[in-house]
Amino acid sequence: MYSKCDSPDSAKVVFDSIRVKSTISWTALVSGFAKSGRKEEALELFRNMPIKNLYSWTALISGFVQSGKGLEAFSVFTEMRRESVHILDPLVLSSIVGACANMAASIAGRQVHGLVISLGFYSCLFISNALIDMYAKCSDVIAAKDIFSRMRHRDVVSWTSLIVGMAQHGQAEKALALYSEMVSHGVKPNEVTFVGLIYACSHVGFVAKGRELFQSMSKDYGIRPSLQHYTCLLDLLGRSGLIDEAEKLIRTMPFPPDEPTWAALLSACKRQGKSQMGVRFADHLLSCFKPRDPSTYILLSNVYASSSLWGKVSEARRKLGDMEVRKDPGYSSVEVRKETEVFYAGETSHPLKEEIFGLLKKLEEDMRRRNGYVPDTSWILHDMDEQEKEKLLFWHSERSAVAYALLKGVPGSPIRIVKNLRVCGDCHVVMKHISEITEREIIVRDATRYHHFKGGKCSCNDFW
Amino acid sequence: MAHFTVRRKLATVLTKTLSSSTSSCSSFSTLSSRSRFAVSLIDKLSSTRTGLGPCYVTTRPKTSGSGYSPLNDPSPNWSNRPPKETILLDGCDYEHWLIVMEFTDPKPTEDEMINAYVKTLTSVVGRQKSHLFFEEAKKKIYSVCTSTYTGFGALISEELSCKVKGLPGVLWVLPDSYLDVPNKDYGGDLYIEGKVIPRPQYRFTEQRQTRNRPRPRYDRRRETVQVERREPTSQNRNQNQPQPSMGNQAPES
Repeated sequence: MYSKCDSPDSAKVVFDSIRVKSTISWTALVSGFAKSGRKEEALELFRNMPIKNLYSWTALISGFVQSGKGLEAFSVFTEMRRESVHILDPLVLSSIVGACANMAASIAGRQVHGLVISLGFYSCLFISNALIDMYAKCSDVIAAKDIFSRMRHRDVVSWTSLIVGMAQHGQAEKALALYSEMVSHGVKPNEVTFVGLIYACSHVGFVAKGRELFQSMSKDYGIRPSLQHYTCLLDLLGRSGLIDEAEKLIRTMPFPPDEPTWAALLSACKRQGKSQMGVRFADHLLSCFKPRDPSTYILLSNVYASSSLWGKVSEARRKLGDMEVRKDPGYSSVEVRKETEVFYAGETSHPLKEEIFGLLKKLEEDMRRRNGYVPDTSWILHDMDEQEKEKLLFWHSERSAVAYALLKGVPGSPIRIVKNLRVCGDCHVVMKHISEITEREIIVRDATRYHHFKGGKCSCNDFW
Repeated sequence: MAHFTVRRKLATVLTKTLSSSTSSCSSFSTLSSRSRFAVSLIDKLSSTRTGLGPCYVTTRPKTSGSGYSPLNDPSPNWSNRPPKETILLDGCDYEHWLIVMEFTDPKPTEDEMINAYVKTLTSVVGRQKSHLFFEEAKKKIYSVCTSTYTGFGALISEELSCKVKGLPGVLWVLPDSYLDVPNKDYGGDLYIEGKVIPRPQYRFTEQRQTRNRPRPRYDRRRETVQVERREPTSQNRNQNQPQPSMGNQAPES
C-alpha cells in the first residue's frame, strides 16, 4: 500500500518488520522504489531478492518507465530476456513499448514490436494500444494506422491514441474523420479525445468545429473542460485572429490562466498586428508572472520592439539575463541505421565535421541560388555581428543532424530528428528547402510539435 | 513567433492525460504518467546518464567561436547532455529482419505461405522468374512461421529490407532479435536451404499462453543433429525451448 502511495520509505519500514518475506512483498517494495525514481535502491533490492518471477521483473521495469527512466527499464528488460524469464503475461511488453514511446526511440520500438509478434502477443488489446501510441510518437503515423486498422477489438484508448497521434502530426481532417467513425461505432470519447480534437482544429483554423466540440464535450458527454481544453480553444481563437473573443475567454474561464496561456495570446496579438493589445498583455505577463520560459522573454522583447518601446525591450532582455538561465544547449538526435547520433548546437568537433560542413555549404548554395534563401538572423537575440549570427544559425544542431542522415542513412528513407528546443524560424525555412532539394522527407520533433517537411512544405503550415 | 509555449504545454498535456485517463486500463497505468514530449524528454535523458547498460556519453569538446553566445560559453551546462545510447536487444544487428506478411481468405496452406515468402524475397534479391535468384533468396531465409504469425526471417541489408516493405502482402519489416537469448536463437521454424525444421511455437490465446503446435515433434535423430546457422546453436533443441512455467521461480515457502 505504501508503495502505491509513493511512500517507499514507509513501505520499507513495514517490509523490514516482516519475518518471512514473500516474493509479493519484495516485489511491492521494489515497485515502490522504482516508481519513485529511486533507481539505485530499487536495483539493490531487486538483486537481493531470493526469488524473482516475471511479476518482479515487470514491477521493476514498469516502475522505471513510470518514473521516466526508460534506458534503465530497457537495460533491465535485456537482462530479463537473457535469463529466459518466460513472458506469460504481456504487461512487461506494453511497459517497454511505453518506454520507447517516451523516448521516441523508434529503433528500440520496432525491435520490441518484432518481439511482440514473435511471442504471439500482437492481438493483445493493450499492447496494440501501446504500439499505436509508440509509432505516433516516433513520427510514423502510417504504422500507427496499420496497427489500428488490423485490431479485431478496439477500445476508447485505441481510437484516442490514433486521433491524438494524427492531431500531433497536423492531420486534422483525418483526426476529425476518425472521431466521426469512432462515434458511429458507439465508442464514447473521453477528455483526452477532446484535447486531441480541439488541438487538431487549431492547426487548420476550424473555429466553428472547435467551438462545437468544446460545447459537445460537456453537453453530450458530461465531460467538464479542463485548463488544457481551454488552452487549446484559446490557441484556436488566437491563431484565427479572434483575439477579442480569446481575451474574453481568458478572463472568464474557471481556471487561472498560466504563463503559457498568456504567452499564446500575446503571440496571437503579435501575429495579428494588434500591438496595443499586445503591449497590454505583455505588461500583464511581465508584472504578474515571473516567466520561467526563456522563449517568453524573447516573445516579450519582440512585442515591445514592434511598438518601438525600446526601454521595455531592454528590460525584457535584462530579465532574461538575470534569470541566469543556462538554457540546455540545443541538441538534436537522429536515428541512422541502428545508431542514434546526437549533435549539439555549434559543435564543430564531430568526426565527420568536414563532410557535414561540405554538404551543408553545398545545400546552402543551392538554396540561395534556387530559392533565393537568405539567412534570417532576427532569430539570434545575442549581440554579435551579422556574420557571426549567420554562422551560429549554420551550426544549429538539427542541420548537422540532417546532413549526417543524408550522408550515412539509407538513401530515400525518411529522416527522423528529435530536437530538445523549438526549431527556429530560419531552420524551419532551411528544412523545407533541403526536403525539396534532396527529395527526402524530414520529420523533426521539437519541443512543441512535429514538423513533416516534404517537397518544400511543412505539415505545420508554418504555424508552430 | 507562434504559440510555441502553448504548444509545448499542449504537447505535454496530451501525453499526460492520455496516460492518466486510461489508468483504468492496467497496461497504461504502467506507462509513464509524465509527459512524453521533448520538454520532459530532456529531463529523462539527462537523468539516465548512469543507466545500467552501456551508456556512451559524448565527450567531444565544446567548440569556440568569436563573440559571446551561450553556445561558446566556457563553462557550459553539460550535465544535461543526453547519452548517446543505442538500444539494441540481443541478436538485433540490422541484418536479421523479421518480415510479416498477411494473406487474404481463403488462407493458403503452410507450403503455399512459405512459397510466398521465398517469392517475396526473390523480388528484391533479383528477377522473380530466374531460378537462380529463387535459390539465392532461399539461402537468405533463416526462419519461417505459419502459426503464431505469418512471416519469415531474412538475412539482408537494411537497404534491401526497405525495399521489401513496399511489396504486396508485406505488413511489417522489423529488426529481428533473439527469441531465446541464451541460445542465440531467432525463433520460428528453422529454414535451411529450403528445408523447414519445425519447432514448438508460441500461441497467445488471450487467456494464457500455450504451446500448441499441430506438427509432429522432432524424431530422436534430429534432436542430436547440429544445425548450422549463422551462429552456432545448441544441439538439443527441445531443451532450449522456454518452459511453460515461469522462469527462475522456485516454489515459494
